[in-house]
Amino acid sequence: MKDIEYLGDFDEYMQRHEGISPEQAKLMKDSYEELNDELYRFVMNAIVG
Amino acid sequence: MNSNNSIFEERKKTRDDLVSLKKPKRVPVFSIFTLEAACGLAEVSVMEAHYDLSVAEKAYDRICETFYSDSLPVLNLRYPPVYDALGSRNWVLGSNGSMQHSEVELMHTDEYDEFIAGPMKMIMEVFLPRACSELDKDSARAGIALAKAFAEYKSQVRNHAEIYGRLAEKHSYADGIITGPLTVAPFDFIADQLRGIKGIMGDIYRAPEKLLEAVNAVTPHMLKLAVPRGVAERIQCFIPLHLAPLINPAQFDRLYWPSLKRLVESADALGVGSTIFLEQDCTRYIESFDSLPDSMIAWIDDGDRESFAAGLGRNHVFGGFFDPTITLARSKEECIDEAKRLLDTCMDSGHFFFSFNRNVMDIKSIDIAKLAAVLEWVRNNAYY
Repeated sequence: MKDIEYLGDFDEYMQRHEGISPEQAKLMKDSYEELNDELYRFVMNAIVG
Repeated sequence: MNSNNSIFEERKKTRDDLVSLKKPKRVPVFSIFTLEAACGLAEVSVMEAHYDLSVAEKAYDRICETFYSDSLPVLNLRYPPVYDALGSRNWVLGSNGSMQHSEVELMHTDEYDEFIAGPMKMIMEVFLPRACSELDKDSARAGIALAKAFAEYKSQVRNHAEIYGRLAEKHSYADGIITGPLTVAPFDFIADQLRGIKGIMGDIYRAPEKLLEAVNAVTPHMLKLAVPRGVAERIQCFIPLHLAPLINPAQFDRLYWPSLKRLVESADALGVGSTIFLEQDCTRYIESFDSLPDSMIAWIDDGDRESFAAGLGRNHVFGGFFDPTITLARSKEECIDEAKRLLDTCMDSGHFFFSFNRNVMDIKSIDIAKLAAVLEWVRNNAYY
């Protein structure tokens, strides 16, 4: 996993969800990445202020 | 079209022309006050405002009603309840109600190699537990603390966005010069947040190669912070510089500038302009900042105004310089004369906005009536 994706890599996450339709995968990806982005900004806010 | 819409449309066009590097009809006015200043004006407790956002909103509204601005004149970046939940040692709420950054050394001298190999890994596994007492516990309790703090963070961000939206609509504000996320210069991240001032000054002399590698390793993270998931048109992230004027030019050229330039250029390539706050006097670096993309906006604390206007101001939006604290010592007319001198020097470029040299953080640091008069004068007279 790349360091920039330490908080979560969607491709790795999807390895645990085989057999999902492409449409559902897209919905999950959008939701997953939005949450990751918020979490990332929260973590950096704790350091940077 | 009602009068409020026409006010908004005029402000929007003025701002949009400015950031597009077209000469607007007049010089835009972007005032900026902190929550502390707002509470001082409204005569309410800052402490209460941090924990009851209805108090904060009323305080912000007093600023909006008192001081002219084309954009929302208030800004609050740090939320004490989040730091409470984390047990933060690096960001502490002072007795005066201001969030203060403590000088803490989150990264030790012998941890450069680990950091370079994985900045985020070190942030999550080492620095945050050092910075936050509630994260320096077993995984279950640290997880609970992180969950609480994250929930509080999301709530604060959402509530603040709603407050700003209500105030912008009520007062017909257009966008200003900061419309995107906060990020920092990669060097400042290492210096301010990880090594501390004492540590970084030693590193500059004892381990400049490692320091440079660390700065380069963290640059992708500063870019990730700068670029939101949804990039709106003409969005401007905010980069408040810190140590640039405190290191010598050779150190700036080698350690500070290259990564900052890469950050701004990369953000620009992704559709995000950078509004850079140049703290203290950065006159000697005008040429460097002038080499940045056109989307860079310079908010300037101090320096040779003529040099900025003739240099960086030809190709970039710039503003600042005006020290609002002069209103305590000078008459209203003298303060307006100072604004006139500033405009005479800087307006010709067509790329100038009127703003303070820094946020007003303490309402007692200014004369309310005189500053309000200066802002009104600029709004009514600074036409091309």
